[in-house]
Amino acid sequence: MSRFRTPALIVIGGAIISLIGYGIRGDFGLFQEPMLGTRGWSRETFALALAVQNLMWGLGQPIAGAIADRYGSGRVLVGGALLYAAGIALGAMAEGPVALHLTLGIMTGLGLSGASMFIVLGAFGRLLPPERRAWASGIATAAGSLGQFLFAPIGQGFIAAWGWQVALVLLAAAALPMIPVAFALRSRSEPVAAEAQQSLGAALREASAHRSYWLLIAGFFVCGFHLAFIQVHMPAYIAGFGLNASVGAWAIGFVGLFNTIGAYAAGVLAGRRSKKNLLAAIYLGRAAVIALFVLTPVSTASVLIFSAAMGLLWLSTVPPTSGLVALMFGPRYMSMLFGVVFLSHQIGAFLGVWLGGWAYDVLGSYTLVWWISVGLGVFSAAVHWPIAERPARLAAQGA
Amino acid sequence: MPEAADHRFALKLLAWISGIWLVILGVLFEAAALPPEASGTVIVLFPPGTGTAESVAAGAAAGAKLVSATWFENVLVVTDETPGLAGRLEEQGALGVFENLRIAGISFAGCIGASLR
Repeated sequence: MSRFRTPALIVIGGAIISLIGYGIRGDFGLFQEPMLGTRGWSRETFALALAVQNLMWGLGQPIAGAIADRYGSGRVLVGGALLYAAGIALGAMAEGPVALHLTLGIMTGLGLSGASMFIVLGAFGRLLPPERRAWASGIATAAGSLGQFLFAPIGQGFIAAWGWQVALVLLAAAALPMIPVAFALRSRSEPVAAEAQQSLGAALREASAHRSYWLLIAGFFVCGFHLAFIQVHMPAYIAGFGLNASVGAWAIGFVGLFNTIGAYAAGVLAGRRSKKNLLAAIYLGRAAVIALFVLTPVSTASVLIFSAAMGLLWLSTVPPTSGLVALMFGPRYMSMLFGVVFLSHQIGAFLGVWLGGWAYDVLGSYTLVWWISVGLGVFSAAVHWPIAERPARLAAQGA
Repeated sequence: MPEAADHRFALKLLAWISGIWLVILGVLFEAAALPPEASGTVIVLFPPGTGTAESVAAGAAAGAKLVSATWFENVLVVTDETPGLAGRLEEQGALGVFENLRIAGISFAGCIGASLR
């Protein structure tokens, strides 16, 4: 590692990439109304483009991770940022649904796979000393959460000042600083000792034969389910109790603020305490918070307390989960193996959104899905408990 | 294990990011403000600390009808088709007058991205 790339520079670089990548992505919803107004598309057309984007992100993450593990994080981050920026800029020119799905859907989704926090976490695993990794992961995760807030008024300001098409091009330009910053995170896996002869396929086979890896995948599925269900259906749930729309806006604000705090705190705690126990506590905490929220009469106070508590537990799962992957299998194939775990998260997210909509349409209430969320929280805490928190090879020898 | 210096580093990073963000917002605030001759349905921003009643009174004095309040007491959505609405609102103390952007149900936090209702 060259002399100029100090740990501080690496952490700052990772934080900037997380902030920009996550921040811009949070702005896409702002474009729904102006784009539909100009192009005459249906809401479904726009929603499908964002659904495709999320699917591509989830499917692309293990592949981008594998490329980063093999050819270096820097190249993947640069390629991802270019694809991300191109997809956003070309989205401004999309005149039909197919072009929209190709640009804001497929290109930006795959771009996000490359220019994502998860590639950053893999680079941290290779570039930073072990005692700094969890803390740095907390900073990158918190920066991603912060980015969603900071970019919201920026995106809105761009649209107000110059219209949605120029705003998309400006957001694409805002993604480009990720390219020079990525040079601070250039890293290729340096195989050491037992990892020396391991191929990418062998790493996948080793992980798929390791029980604790499957438990981690099952647990992170629940994370995606919780967050997506709450994020998408919470506003309608609140509105159903006659609360003012502003309560929903404040609730989102509380989630974001406490999410930033929770993500950083989780990074610090993951470096000091057992990661699997921390995860079990987070998921159990989510189950308790959701159960209390459902059992308590809905009011402005209950919504805000729920939002603050869930915010603390929101992305706080990322530092200990990525830390466990690095601990089990080492940093060499971490980006790919964590990408697989993230794919499970996105599948959970898809189901959370879909099941919420189904329950509301068929049953006329979200109650069943709230209780499923409580049950899944307990399930996730239970599956994290028996995880072997040590390198997979040692766990296999000890079995 | 993170030490006090690491937490200070995190806070400094937060301060730098927030500072850069405020500068960008300041530039956007100027760029996004409507010209004095603008009219129609607009968002008007009064100085922080202005109460809802005071904001509504200032809007009415400028000849605007209240469309809706927002979750900030000093920010209102008002309307009037007579040219010069933005200028009249600024004469009544508004810090800025902006186009009324309609935003669908979106969420800013979380993992899955923008959600739609």
